[in-house]
Amino acid sequence: MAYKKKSVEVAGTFKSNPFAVDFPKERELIVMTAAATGLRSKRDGLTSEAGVDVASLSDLLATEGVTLQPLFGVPEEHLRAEAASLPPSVNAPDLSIYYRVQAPDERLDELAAKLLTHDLVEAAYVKPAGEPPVVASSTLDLVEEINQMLPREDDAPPISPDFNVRQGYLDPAPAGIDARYAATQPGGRGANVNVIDCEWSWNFSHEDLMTNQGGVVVGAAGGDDNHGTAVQGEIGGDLNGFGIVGTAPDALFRAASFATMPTAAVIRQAANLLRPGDILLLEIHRPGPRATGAGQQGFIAIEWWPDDFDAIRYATSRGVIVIAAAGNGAENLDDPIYNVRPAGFPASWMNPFKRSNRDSGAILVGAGAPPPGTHGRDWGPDRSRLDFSNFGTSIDAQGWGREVCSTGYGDLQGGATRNVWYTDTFSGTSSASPIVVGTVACLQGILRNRGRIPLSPARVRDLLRSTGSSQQDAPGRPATQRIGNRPNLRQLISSALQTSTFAGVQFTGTLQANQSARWFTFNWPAHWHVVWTVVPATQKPGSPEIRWNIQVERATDAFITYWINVTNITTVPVTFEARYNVLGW
Amino acid sequence: MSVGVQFTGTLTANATQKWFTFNWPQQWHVEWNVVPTSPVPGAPQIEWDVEVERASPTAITYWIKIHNLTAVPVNIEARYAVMS
Repeated sequence: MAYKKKSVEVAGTFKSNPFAVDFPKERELIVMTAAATGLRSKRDGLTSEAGVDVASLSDLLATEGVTLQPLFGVPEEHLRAEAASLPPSVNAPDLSIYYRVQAPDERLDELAAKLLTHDLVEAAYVKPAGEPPVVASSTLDLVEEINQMLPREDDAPPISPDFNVRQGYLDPAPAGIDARYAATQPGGRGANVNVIDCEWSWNFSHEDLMTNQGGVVVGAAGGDDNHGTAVQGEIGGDLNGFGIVGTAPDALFRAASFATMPTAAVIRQAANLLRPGDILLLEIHRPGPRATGAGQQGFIAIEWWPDDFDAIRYATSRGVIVIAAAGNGAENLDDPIYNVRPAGFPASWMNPFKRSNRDSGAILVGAGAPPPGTHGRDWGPDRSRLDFSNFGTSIDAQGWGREVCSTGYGDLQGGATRNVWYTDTFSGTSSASPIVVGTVACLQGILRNRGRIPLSPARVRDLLRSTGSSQQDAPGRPATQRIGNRPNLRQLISSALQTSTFAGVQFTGTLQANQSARWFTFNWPAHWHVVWTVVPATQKPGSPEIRWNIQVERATDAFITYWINVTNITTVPVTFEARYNVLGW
Repeated sequence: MSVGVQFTGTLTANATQKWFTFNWPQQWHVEWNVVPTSPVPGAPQIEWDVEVERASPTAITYWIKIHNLTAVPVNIEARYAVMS
């Protein structure tokens, strides 16, 4: 698929960005070892907790002059403890089997091939460098340029104007997500919700990003900070009467940087700083199997790579809502090419974009067109897929992929200090994803304010898919090229707050004299508050007949299994019934 | 009827831990429910029970004892439902 080159025409005089810095780009050689080996990589060499002979692997590494470094920066036994003793059916991520090999870039492919020949190595692959979802120009002129805005030359006024009216994405549906309505609800600006944005760099000194921010909490920032600053503004722009305002300005915004650490390690560390119901944003994509080398064509969401998938899975299994840019590669993620296991991936790998295979639990966000006429420009029918946006059945929701007014870049307001820069044209799945993050932060804030159960990752996904303003057709880009609905907070809030109460008998059973037995009942929505009661149906007046207790299993993100242990404390058979009462959610 | 989350926490492998939550109006009928938030399919992860303290003529303290049945840490959330 080829792009048509377009340019965003904005009146004014612009200058080059004196603060521009390239994003650090580093490929990563990832090695996976067999879990049964119980490998440990320590300063003085490799050992095996399972007593496996690792000498030949040590020799290979020594010959090549490299070492295996635990990818997640944590000793294997610590990570292994999380995975140990689980039933064989469990598919929980075992992060202890991941290692990184650092070497000059030109050696990585050759090293991966050599390591892959060793019996103890299950996978060895070179991960392309991740990049923020922008589309850089190409020499072939096939690729559309976005997020290449330059700052205006003219100085900013002493006090920045109020640009709020230019933030149409906050408006009522279907044009926007109706964050203006959410803001009228207690907690509806994201109060008591934590957000961590994973990318490269941010300007935490910006005049409009001074409150409710906690700086960089994982890694060290590096590279151009306009992208991160625009993302931050969309979510957390201050409520102060000038500049812009974020979708969820009361949420605590913090940052985790890919500039100095492996991406999977950043995701895990950031997840450890969040509570269930908090939000992790992944502003990154990588060149996939169809990348052409022309700009970011063929770039895809990072869950396709095994270590990133497991890190995301780690986060969502802790109840953290992971929202990820689907990528600007113009790719159909349902294409069979994504079923093909790349050389070096583990034999167990399956295409995560086909969620019936396996599911990271993340929410993937595509880029949709804003209403025609926004800022005087037309990108096609409102909510139609933008040409650069990836699409497919795994995409959960869309946000504005053009004309997003936020902090940074300086094409709306420039000036000598970048602390007063604003943009009118932040774009891509980069600009779309923070809109969905802000949406979810508003929802969780409202629920938390009411003391309600925060939404789980699966519940957020379900609500985003079942509500909102539907995707529209565009010439050559029909709505069957799925990017999902644009969120509508008025609908979402109503759906999330809806609750119900009902009761019934789940099963009956009989216990012989003094017998104990256990029953289980599964696929109970995890967000339901369910109270169980077990009562005898056999009449035996004068003394107690049964005793029971409940054990609970979180089977998946979405469902709970209840295990009900019942003991007959009489010397005769007793029939009983197990009753449920759903008290709400 | 109102339902909500009173607290979240983490239990280490096989641990039993007791939390308390206080100043609940004595006239409220409160049901407690504890669920894991870390999916691990195949077996029960936790069990729990509630003990009750009449802290004052007007207030009740609930003590919620949670037992991790597994050999790995489990994240939990304790939910309440005020029936009336």
